[in-house]
Amino acid sequence: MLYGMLLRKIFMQNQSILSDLKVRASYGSVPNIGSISTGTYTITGFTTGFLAVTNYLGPQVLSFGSTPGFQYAGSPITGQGPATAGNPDLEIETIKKINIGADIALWRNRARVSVDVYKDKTEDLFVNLALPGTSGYSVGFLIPINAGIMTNKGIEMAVAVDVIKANELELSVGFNHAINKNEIEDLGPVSEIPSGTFIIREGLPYGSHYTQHYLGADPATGKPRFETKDGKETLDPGAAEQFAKFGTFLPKHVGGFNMEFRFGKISVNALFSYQFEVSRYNNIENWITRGIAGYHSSVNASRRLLTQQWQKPGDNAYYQAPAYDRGFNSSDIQDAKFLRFRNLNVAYNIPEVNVKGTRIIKSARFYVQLQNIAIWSPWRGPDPEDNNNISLNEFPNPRMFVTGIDINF
Amino acid sequence: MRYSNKLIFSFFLFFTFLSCKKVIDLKEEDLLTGDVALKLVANNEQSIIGAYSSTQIEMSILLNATLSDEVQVAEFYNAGTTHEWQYGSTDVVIRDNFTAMTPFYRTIDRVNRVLSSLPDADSTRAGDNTLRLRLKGEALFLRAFSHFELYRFYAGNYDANALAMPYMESSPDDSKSPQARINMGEYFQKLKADIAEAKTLLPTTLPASEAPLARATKMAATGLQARIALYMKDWTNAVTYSTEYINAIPLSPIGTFYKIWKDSSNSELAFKLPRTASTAAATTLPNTAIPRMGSLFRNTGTAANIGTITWRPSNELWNSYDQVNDVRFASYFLTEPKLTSANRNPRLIQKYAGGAYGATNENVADAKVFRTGEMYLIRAEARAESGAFAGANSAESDINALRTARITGYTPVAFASKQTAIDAIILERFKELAYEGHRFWDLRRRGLPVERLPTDAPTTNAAILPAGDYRFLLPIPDAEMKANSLMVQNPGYN
Repeated sequence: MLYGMLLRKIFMQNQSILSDLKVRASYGSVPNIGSISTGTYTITGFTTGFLAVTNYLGPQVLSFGSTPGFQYAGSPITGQGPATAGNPDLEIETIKKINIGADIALWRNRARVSVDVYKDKTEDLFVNLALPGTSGYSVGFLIPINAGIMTNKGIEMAVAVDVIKANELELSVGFNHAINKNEIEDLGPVSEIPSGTFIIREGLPYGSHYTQHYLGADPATGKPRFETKDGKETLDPGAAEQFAKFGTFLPKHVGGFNMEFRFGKISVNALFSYQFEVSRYNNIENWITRGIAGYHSSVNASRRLLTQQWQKPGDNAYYQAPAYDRGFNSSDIQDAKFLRFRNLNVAYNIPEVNVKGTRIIKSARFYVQLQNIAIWSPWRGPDPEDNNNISLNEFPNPRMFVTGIDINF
Repeated sequence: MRYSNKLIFSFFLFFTFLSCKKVIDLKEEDLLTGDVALKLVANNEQSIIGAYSSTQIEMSILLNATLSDEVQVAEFYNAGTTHEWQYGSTDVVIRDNFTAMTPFYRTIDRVNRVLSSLPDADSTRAGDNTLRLRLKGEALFLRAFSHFELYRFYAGNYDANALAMPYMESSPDDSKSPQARINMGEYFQKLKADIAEAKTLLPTTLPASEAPLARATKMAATGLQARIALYMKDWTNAVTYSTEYINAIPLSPIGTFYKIWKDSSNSELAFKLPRTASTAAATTLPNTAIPRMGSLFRNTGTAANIGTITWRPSNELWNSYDQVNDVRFASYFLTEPKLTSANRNPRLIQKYAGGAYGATNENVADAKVFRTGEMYLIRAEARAESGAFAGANSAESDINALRTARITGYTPVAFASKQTAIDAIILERFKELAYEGHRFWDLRRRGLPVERLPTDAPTTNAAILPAGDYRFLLPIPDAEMKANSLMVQNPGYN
């Protein structure tokens, strides 16, 4: 603010292009406990809602339980056993944020540009670590630990231009884009923590997909081909190596553009959103293209199997022969980039309604709004837009048609 | 606001951002944590029950059946990677949500916690101090049993210098700490020490107020000792322990053999894990549901519509019995006419079918762990290997005794050589212990291949697993390899 006043004095005296220039910077440190998985105390009897009491201590101490899993049919005595493994060294995550931005207005506020450059550094990152079986819980049982440092660096910009600004005709267009680069900087004593289908590895973004690389069907036998550690091919699933080169579910580029148009009393607003450099697992796709007898008897298989599945020696096909199972691997990772026509709003401004001099209706607006009208994406599932790494039976963003009337009395 | 006011105001704002870490570091008083949960002897007994609840043989039954020649593919087949020996360490079917490492190390950890808190636990009821000794015996028994099962899944034939699994004698202070595999010599030493000590502490019979055979007794420990001796090729002890068992618990009369499998008779049994219709109820981690025994082979259904059959008896097994006179054939298998009329293959594995189709206890069967039939076969094999394959007190007499109790009108046979005796014993184990979790490992320890009939094998590639193939050992699950930096993978796997 102070700086803005200064700039105004120095720069703004004798020019008419820049009508406003604000430069801002901020630095802060934010604690975050939200991403740790917690249970609730059973004090109030509620496990959700505002009466539930979250148990933040649970992840930190070993506690016993006697829920159904500990009961033995051979004895009436209530069984008990360790229910949660505790991590007494657990600390709260801290995010250190630096942000530098500028708001620029041009041509008497006809164009407005806002740019932000930021770097967020998460320290003591919560990571779910898989325990070995000898810990006594289960192989791969997860406990939260503070793993290390993760950074999110990026640029956000928004541009809005009032192209036409007349009495009866207005047209504004806007555009915003955000680039976010997520990187795991340091994991302390280890260099990677695999977590099921994704891996947390130094130098890669959080949530990088981690699985075997499926190469197609072997033309001679129809067996699935996998890539090995040294880049060669193998037909033995036991020798297949897992790679982390398939992208991540956190999109790098996100943005949108919108248009506002008014002609007389009719106004039309449209909003598009997009994202790219993102990929996710499509679990439904795996089921319908698995190609083996067991899955065919449970789900309707994809038509693609008629033409892209190996049938006889010599076939160059992507999907393996029905006699062999390829499992769940890179063949199910798809590009989740999309361009979505998110919102279309057409409104008519109803003028004042006067009856014999008294004003009954001050103003009214009749509108028709459509949401999630169309999506253009190479994703083959119901909806590529979600914040997890595997798409499994998720209800897609619904397409809505709303119409209404606002009346001001 | 004036300029100077703005400055003072922002100055105050700045100080509010300095946080107080001490305020958020609270000590919790009411949580049921480790030292409170095992304070009394009664609590320790609860933990032992919790350990029993995690013990299961269902997966060894399923894997021994599907990895060997006991079953053939039926109506629903998506276990190609296991049945056809194509598994790797990331295989979904054996990745160990429930296979062996998870349930058994869980049991081991629970009993280890009991063993460390038992000496200091408070006795609050009369008889608690006697109970304390019994609980120690049960803990050591379960620890030995679990470690032996882990050995059977993941370690090869007995060789003192080969790798077994990590032997957990106490609960790790830090759950994250990696554990290393130890040699079989040391592993079996600890195993035998645990089971020997357990045997001195366990009761001879369970109190009448308790469910029969549901908790460990001296004979259960003896049965385990006999099995361990067999796998160690310690023939002398194998004979000693199996004889002890046989003398205490004789073979079932031939007319009531079928009742064992209907859970209406406990003859021949020294230890079993009772199951009810709710044992398979969904549970939350760290527990995993134990599937119904019968559902391993056939889904539940209704009387009108029998559930989908996943595994059927193999022709090889089906044809090996005297189908008229052998009571085992009638107890283990069934030709179901309702399936024929529905145009489905009528052969069923009946051994664990539980109640009627559609009943609440359909497919519910107790897990029988030690049987006299197995003891006779252990003794026969140990005697044959020691040279006593014919005459009195030999493999021959044992096999004849067993067969007389299973086949009406049986005429005893004679074994001309040790090899004939061994072949007959392996075949008898195939028939007697079908679907009890032994076949695959019997073939492995005798150095035999898995040979399926062409009519049983799902593909021509899945007919023979050569003797000594690396796939006779299951791979250490990939999740364990990643979580445990000291774990060593079995040979042949990635």
